[in-house]
Amino acid sequence: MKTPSVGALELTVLLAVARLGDDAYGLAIRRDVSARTERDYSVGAVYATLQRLEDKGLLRSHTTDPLPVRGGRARRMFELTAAGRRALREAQRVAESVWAGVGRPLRPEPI
Amino acid sequence: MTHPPRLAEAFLASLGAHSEFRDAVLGDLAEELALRAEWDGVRAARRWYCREAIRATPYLLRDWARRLSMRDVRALAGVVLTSYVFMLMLTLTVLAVARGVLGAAGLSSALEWIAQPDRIPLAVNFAFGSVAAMVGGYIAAWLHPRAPIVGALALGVVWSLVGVTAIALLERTPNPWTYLMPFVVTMGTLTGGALRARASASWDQIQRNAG
Repeated sequence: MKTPSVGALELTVLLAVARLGDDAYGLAIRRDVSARTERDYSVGAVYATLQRLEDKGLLRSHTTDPLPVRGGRARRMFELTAAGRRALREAQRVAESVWAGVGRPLRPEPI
Repeated sequence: MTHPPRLAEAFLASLGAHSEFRDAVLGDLAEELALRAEWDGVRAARRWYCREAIRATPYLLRDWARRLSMRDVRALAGVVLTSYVFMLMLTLTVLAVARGVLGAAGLSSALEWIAQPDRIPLAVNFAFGSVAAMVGGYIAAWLHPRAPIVGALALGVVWSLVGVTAIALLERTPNPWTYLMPFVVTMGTLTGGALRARASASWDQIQRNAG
């Protein structure tokens, strides 16, 4: 079965979901992605990406009970599907393949 | 617990996004607001919330647009038409009443002034335009309860397009500042829509508390 292609942000979000495991919900994912990429992603951008990944069948979600700290709203928890895990393995394989042959670490540009 | 700014929260909740998407975004914002209020203080946290609300708006609007059906488009067109006609009637009524009052008070010079809109200063036009737009936005939002802000925004856009076309076609040498009117109108309709959204959110809260 062909794995759907994923963009750079989608891949970062998928990896965050994999890393966070049972704690993967919007706020935690956004913090993880923003900290690792050193970019401040908006809540809307992260949820739009999560929604796309869910539409592609790479993630599934369920909601918790409402929580007072969220103004009585539930948390939406995310987890990888089998296709999501396959997409991550595929992305890793491709990354390793394109990096192969770069014999030594890239030196920084001289200033 | 720190409560989110009511107007910003009502604005986001009224953009017509699917309830799952909307609640996830609003819940995350509320949760992070509480954390930031502890770290940075309540005022800074509320400023952060308003900034994030603006950044989240295009995504919530996109979610609404993604689910748009032909029936929704027809309903929205009806909302725009109805609120536009209602607004025109209201404006004409206000002008007629003003003329009546001024005429009865014997202020004929002011009556002549109103009769010639070209002589009314642009600032007065803008002030009148923004109040009219706010009322129009409020009505459009009220007529479109599924996505009140979208109703108000659609009215603002259509009204602006009609206005710009009218200026371009009818005025030989229009004052360049006149072209700011679409911005004034759209901001006015959005403010009216947000006020309506906040009022209905408060009403929902009252009903929830009563229930």
